[in-house]
Amino acid sequence: MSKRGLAKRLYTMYGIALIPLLMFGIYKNGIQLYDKGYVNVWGMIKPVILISMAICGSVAGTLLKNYRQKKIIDLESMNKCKKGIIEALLLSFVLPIKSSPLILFVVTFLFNLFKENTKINKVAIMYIVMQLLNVLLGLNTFSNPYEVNTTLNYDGIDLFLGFGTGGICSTPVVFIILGLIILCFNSLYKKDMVISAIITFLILGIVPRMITSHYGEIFPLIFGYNILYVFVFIFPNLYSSSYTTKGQILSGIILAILTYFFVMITPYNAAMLSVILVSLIRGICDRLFVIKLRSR
Amino acid sequence: MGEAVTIKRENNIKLESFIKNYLNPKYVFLPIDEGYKLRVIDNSYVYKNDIVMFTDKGKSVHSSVSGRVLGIKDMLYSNGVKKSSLVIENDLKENVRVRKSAKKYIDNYDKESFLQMLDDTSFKYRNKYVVQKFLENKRILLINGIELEPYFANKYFELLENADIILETIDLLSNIFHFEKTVLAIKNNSSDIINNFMNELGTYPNIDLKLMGDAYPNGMDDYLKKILELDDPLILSIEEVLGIYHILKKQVPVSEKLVTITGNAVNPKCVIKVKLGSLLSEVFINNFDFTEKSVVVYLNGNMTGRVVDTLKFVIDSTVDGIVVMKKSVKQVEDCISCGLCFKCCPMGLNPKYVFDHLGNVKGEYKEGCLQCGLCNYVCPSNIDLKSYMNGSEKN
Ligand code: SF4
Ligand code: SF4
Repeated sequence: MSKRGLAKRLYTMYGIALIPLLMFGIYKNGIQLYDKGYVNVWGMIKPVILISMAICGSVAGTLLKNYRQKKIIDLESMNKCKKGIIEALLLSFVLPIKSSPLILFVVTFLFNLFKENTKINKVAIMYIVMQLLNVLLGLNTFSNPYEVNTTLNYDGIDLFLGFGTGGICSTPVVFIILGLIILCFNSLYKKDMVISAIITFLILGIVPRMITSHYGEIFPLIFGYNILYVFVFIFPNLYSSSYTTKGQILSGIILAILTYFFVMITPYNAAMLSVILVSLIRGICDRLFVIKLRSR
Repeated sequence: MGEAVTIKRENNIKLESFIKNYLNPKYVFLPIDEGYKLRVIDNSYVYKNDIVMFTDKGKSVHSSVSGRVLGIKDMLYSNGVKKSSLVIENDLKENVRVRKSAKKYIDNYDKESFLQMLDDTSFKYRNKYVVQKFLENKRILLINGIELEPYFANKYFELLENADIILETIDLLSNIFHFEKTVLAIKNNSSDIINNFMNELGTYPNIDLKLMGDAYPNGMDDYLKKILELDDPLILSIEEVLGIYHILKKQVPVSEKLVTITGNAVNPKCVIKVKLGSLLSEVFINNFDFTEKSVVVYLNGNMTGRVVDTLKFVIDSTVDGIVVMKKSVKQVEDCISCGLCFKCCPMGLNPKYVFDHLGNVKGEYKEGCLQCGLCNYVCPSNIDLKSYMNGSEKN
């Protein structure tokens, strides 16, 4: 089968896979808060505004970049926006609801203006930049106004359904799994690395706690901190991840291990930081197997 | 190591179900290889099959037409190299000298007379003397009857029309050289061909027929022997087998060849029988039309062939056909690290690794590349990985 056009189809599938998460995020961090009287109308539509600003920044950056290169805005440059839009969605979904829409616009604009594809995971870098700015501005807490004002006692099911604390649209594990299933239908989606990362992380998260009888810590760890979202949607980036099957499995395992340890230091940023580190060493992961395969 | 891939063909590229003939070219051009001396002079008349060049060791080149010798001219060949060639103006009469009649049976050759016959007629295939292959004392004979290029059908017609001849010749070779194993590989997608061979095979129990899927690059010698797990076989193509039959039967080399002219920007699309030594441009102008203003021509196919900007090639045994496609802009994009090139490579090589290093890698990473073009075919970013593998693309 010809593989031409598969990359474009992958972005479309990303778009489809993200829709349930978007809907849930708008409900959880907008409508629900408004209903309960925690935010005004502005607060209700804030998830939509944040996501829209990320998309606008990305489209504006991509178009301007193309305009600078070719002096026209044509269909091709519009096509290129598709990837930027998906990256904008991926980024905005995992940010705290408190983030500033303006800063988000500027970050996505500048990244798309200067860097189309990066060897290090672009969404992860944009996220870290956003979080650094959020820390400076004191906007880095992931709890929404309801979560700030309530003592939460969620069980595994609640976390699975997405009612735990996390990014704007990155909490519903059920929809993340659905997204994973959808994406697996595209042969460019690197499912091996995602599955190896998830399995390793589940083992690391569950086994020691079972042994030490700390059962209560299992679900918050494995369903929380945006980890599964990052594993499924951000880690298998086309440009910045391993391309050999064994390299992918190895990088998945390394990602899970790094995340497991980073969670103890900076829980919500652990997975993203690990993604960046793994994309730095992906060449080594691939090379190990290139040489072996060559000598077969 | 990647598995063979089914190549998606464009639905509108369908070949005619018959072979067209163009056997009366105005001129034929015969390359003057090193060591050959002319046996004719300008303006002399030659008969078809007359010896026009020879070597001291008794090798000879025959004229494929009758007509007048015009002289010597530098002509372009499919490898892009110009060679001095003897030009013969065809008088279209196909005059032949009275000569020994054809042998009724080919099986009264022994090893020495067989090798002598191949040597005397300078039978070459793809620029190599076929006789050399028989001097290597291989123990297994593999006949490759699989068309490599997805849009070509030369082998299809040769197999369809010559099942009895092919089997008879393979049987003869097997008897002369006492091969331990004789394998004939053909595609499994034509019931007519399979039936023809099945009907005849009963007489030849020593020939092992292997039916292969219509996948790429099954037709590539090195890949075929690998998947058939044959250890160092002597590999002959169907064209070589038919060529050998012709020589044994008529004591002169073949003077005709099948060539496929196809693609989405040419009309008609068909297999055409031409004289060896004719000009591809002449064959084309007299039989075909471009259907688009802007076209890309792949000489010898869109997978293994190369893009050419002229058709003024002399047709020799290395020319199998052309694919004429409508020109479309293929935007080369950044590598998306999908790994498809690496996964599909039939030799287990890693073209992405070579590309990442812009071709500047140790030879071992490129060694064994079949230049099959499968990596180019699967690459979603349209990167010309094949060129990096053969070293022609270095930034
Ligand atoms: S052209 Fe060479 S590197 Fe590319 S798939 Fe074929 S054998 Fe492998
Ligand atoms: S197939 Fe093309 S895009 Fe994919 S890894 Fe190979 S070179 Fe890169």
